Amino acid sequence: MKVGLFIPCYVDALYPEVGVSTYKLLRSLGVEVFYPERQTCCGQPMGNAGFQKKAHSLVETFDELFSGYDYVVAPSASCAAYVRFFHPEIMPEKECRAATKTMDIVEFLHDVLKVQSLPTRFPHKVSVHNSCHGVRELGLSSPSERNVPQFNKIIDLLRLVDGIEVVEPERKDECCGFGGMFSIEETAVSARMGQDKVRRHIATGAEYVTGPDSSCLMHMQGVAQKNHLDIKFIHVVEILAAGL
Amino acid sequence: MAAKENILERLRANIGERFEMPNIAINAIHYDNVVEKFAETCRTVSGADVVMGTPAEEDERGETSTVHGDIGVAENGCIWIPQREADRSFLFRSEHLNIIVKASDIVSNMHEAYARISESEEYFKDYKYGTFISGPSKTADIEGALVYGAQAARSVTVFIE
Amino acid sequence: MSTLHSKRAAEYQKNPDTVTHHDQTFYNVRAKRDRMAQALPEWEELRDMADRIKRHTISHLDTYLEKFEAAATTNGVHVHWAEDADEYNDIVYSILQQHGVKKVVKSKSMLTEECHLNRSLEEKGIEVIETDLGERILQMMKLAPSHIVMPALHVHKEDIRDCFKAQIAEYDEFRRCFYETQNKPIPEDENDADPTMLTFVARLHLRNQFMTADAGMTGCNFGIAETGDVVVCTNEGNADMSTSIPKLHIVSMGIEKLIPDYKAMGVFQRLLARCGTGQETTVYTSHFRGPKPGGEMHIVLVDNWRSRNIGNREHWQTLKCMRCGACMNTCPVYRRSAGYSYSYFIPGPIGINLGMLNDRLAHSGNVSACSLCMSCDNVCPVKVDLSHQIYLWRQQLDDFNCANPMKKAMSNGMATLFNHPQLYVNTLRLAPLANHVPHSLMHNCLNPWANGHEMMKFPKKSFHTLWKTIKEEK
Repeated sequence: MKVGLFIPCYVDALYPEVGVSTYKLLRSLGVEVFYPERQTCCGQPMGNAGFQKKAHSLVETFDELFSGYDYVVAPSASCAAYVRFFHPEIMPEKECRAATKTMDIVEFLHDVLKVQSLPTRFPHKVSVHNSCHGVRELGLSSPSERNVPQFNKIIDLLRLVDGIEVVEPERKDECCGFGGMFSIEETAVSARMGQDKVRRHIATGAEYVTGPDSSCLMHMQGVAQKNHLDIKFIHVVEILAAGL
Repeated sequence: MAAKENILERLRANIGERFEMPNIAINAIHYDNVVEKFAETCRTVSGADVVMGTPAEEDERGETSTVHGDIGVAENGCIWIPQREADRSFLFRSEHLNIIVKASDIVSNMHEAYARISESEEYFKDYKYGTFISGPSKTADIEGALVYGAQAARSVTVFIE
Repeated sequence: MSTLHSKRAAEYQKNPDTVTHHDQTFYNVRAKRDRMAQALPEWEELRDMADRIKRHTISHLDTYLEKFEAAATTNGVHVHWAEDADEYNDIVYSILQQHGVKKVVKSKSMLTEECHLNRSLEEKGIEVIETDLGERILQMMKLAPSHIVMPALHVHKEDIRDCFKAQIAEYDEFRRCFYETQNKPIPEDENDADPTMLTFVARLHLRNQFMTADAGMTGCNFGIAETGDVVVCTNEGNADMSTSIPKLHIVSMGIEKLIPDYKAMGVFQRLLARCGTGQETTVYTSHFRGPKPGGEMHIVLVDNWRSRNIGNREHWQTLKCMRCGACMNTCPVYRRSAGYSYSYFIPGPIGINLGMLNDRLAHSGNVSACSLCMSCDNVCPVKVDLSHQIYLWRQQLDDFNCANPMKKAMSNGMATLFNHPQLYVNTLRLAPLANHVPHSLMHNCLNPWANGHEMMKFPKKSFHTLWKTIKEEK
């Protein structure tokens, strides 16, 4: 199985260790991993700001770079969702071949590789951050608004880790207030949402907040530091790949 | 009549795809002991008192009024009360309302209730009004505090015959 | 470069306790809604059906309107058609004038807010009394609604007490009467603000209004095309009070309120209160099919841009909305910014969209009020894709010159950077230099991120750089 690794721009620049963990974890599970070096960004920041049309050539390039792989895997639910659901909308005149096979790492491990065990130990209490696009676009967990069978793929995977204690905050899938451009344009509300979210994570007694989106974690970390709220942040893939 | 023609004209010009009417068949909640469930819902959801039986005597119109309901709905405590006399204001002006409903007229859900109303020739023949009432008048408009007796009946007793 | 919403919302944040209270109040309503949804196994089936019935009805509105008019006319109702707010206000006034009406009692109607009916009638010398408790409080305090279902939940009870004291002449008498009926001693502190007491005072005050009004007005939650019924749902019974005492009943109804028949009504009745307030039902679900004996009933069908908006291929589905308010209660931005932060009279996700549909130049300042969390899409009983609609409006802002120039510049910059892989990689190499910018410079007012966040630190090596090593190890 050939997997194209998509490391979104901000993960590339700010959280390279998340990319490395993704790579190591996939390799350890016997997956052949490729990283097309001309990749940059999925275009979500522009779409989010109202300039989706400026992302057209990025969509085209993305498809050229990634359409040859069996799957495209990214350690970022929001970016994976943007590729899957918005690329076809941005480039309707062509078939987006990469879009349908683009997945977040959690989805890929849970649904495709169907990972049943991991040689990993992480003896800490973690509070799961169910990020909006993970929940409501990719279906990583059942949305709290809906009357559907309850599930959570992130928690399923974390439970494979030795020594871990997994909890969820009150209002388990309320938005943390990042929202891309939202956090810059609506700074006051965004910061308030972030504070509320971080406080609910802290109230669980967890040492770490973990989730499938470094963007939410980045936002919450910035808010936590600014307000001297004491909790650590770690991407879910870093836990799953701990010790590799 | 220009407005009507203009509106309809614009609608005809602007409506895009026309969607089919679905066949409304909901696999709706059903209660085996519908009377017991109805009584429970009236107490807990509607905030009404429930008495199994008939009121001792029909009170004079004033503080208390008594009225017959035709359908009781177990899922939400609604009771269908069609207008049967020229003045219906007593239903709302009374401080207390007694509603009598037959156990055999209790259904599980609103789909069944509306089906019954549709089938009956009687409703809306003489008086063109009917209402579902579920308990006393309520409000939570002041700081979300639930208060009974906002405008209409302050208390309701449901008699199940 | 802030939007109107963001400025007002920032102002609102200055009192964090108010924000906490507002957020929790409306989150509680959302939580009640969730419990309703979980209690019905057929919940998603109901939403799916409601969506399909509305799609059908809205896309056949021309035929259903004629059907409804015919049925209502047969029932002895006078049906009027209004193209816009002015025409609607004129029609209502002329009906009132013909009947020599001086005072109108009315139950809650968002359409009358949309058309500014009260102001129009008051200017012509007609007294209008709102009878929904929340609306009455706002009317007395000269405030606009902050929410479409619970319009005055943001007002503190002490302010309501002060308002009642000042404006209800019989306040002391009504208050005394309350404690007597409760067999309780009258509190020595005259400044008690018990919501039950205040509600009782309002009850007696409004009783007088019902008895002395010449006409009653209601809105309409659902119009049933087959039978001509107007269905009005309330918890207080004020729509029924307003229409069972005065002889004249005028219904204001947006043309999108139609549903086909009673079978459809069953679906919507089950959803409306569960979604809106988290109750199994409203206390009253009243069907008005015709005038009272010796009375008159009029229905005014109001278009006010709906027939134009139906032609908007991207946004027509907002016409499915039945104004339950669930999208507001779940919206994390609405809960923390409250109704007055929005320029349109309907706030929250549906209000952002309806405002844009009706006047996009006036209301583009609300489009920022969304983190695209998509919670609203999942509570909407008729499945309006609210967040995607907002996303689509953002794409159009630049076309009518309402785009934020900063965002435009950033998007242009990003497009250049991301379309040139070599430039992108070089920039990544330089990024860690930002770590050495002095804190004070980084945290200046020109950097909106730094208002709420500590700046992030760039690692020495990007993934792109690390990959070179990984590749060699392979």
